[in-house]
Amino acid sequence: MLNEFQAAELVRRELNLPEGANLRIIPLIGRALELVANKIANNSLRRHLLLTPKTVTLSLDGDGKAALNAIDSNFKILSEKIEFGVIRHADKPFPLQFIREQRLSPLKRASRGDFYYFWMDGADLQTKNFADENAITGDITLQIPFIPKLSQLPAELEQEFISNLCDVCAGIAKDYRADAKKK
Amino acid sequence: MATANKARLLSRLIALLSGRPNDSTFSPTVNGENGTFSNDDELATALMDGDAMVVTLGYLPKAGHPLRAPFMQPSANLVSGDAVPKSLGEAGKVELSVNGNNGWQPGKKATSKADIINSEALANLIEGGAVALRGFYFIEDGYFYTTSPYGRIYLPQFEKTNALQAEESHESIILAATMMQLHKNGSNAKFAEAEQRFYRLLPAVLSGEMQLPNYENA
Repeated sequence: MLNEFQAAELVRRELNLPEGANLRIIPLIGRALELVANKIANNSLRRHLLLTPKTVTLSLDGDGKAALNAIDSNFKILSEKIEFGVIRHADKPFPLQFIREQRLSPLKRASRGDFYYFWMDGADLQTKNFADENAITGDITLQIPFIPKLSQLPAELEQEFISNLCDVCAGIAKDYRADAKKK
Repeated sequence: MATANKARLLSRLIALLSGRPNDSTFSPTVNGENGTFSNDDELATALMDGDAMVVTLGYLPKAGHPLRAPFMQPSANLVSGDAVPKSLGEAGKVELSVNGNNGWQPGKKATSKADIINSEALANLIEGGAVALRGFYFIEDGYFYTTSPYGRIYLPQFEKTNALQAEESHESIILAATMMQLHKNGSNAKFAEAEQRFYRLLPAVLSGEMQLPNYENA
């Protein structure tokens, strides 16, 4: 598992930067992690590397809604990629289906009676049972894309992360080379 | 590598002053042209002063000099924003510590003062917080800045002792510096010549040259 200094030092050596550059590289780690999270969420074969674990659960309120920020302290959810996640409720054998529009046509409702549905309502996750138009209650389990902290980054993604951090630090490298030329 | 020998240099000094190359004992009647030195304590004191000149002007000013290390002393504990203590030359290595008592680690030099003093504002963007940013320092305009709680700077210091501290192979410049210290109650020529020899030899010492020409050939 990489720590901040190791990550910065690998990038510093890769870009041939002076020792003090680490102090500029470390604050950019978060940006590189977000880039990695977005790339992985878009990749169906590697997406599983950055999904919240099955043990993550949320309770639905009386309106079938759950606040995703309730799990923010442990997992920073990549809500714009939530459609690529797997959300389950004990009532159904199949995962909840993501919909972009909040209402399904009557035909779709009839043919999809075996599923519960969800969509994003701002920062909240909204669920619905269109079969009887009732709110869904109880708990849901979520395996959804998130932006990892450095300590949560799987070993399989470390090289990709370092590569992204090098890209993020390209501007710093350019500044150092310009300063070196002036001297 | 050995430090200069005091007894040997005193003998050479007496020989130079008396004008007799093989003279190794003090004679109260030194050649009038060079003055009279009635007390060999004066010569010993001048030799110690000359030795100090060679060390402080030749070895200590610039970082990286091969003979500087034995004279480097750690400062008292510093915190970010403290003034760098007075010294006889450029600062040497910097060490940083969490508690100021132990666990001193070599500091990493930051690129600018701004990187140091603004790092605290960025700490909450980093998983490890301010701790992840520790270990860096910067010195600007005589002030010390660091992201660690404590730092100390190794600075060149010199204190005269009973022994010579300049290098044995630098005898010629030690003699030249010593001659410059002596009170001239006779002709000034020999001592003016010594001063010229000193400043001719000094650049070689500053650049780290270990072997110098003899005093007479300098």
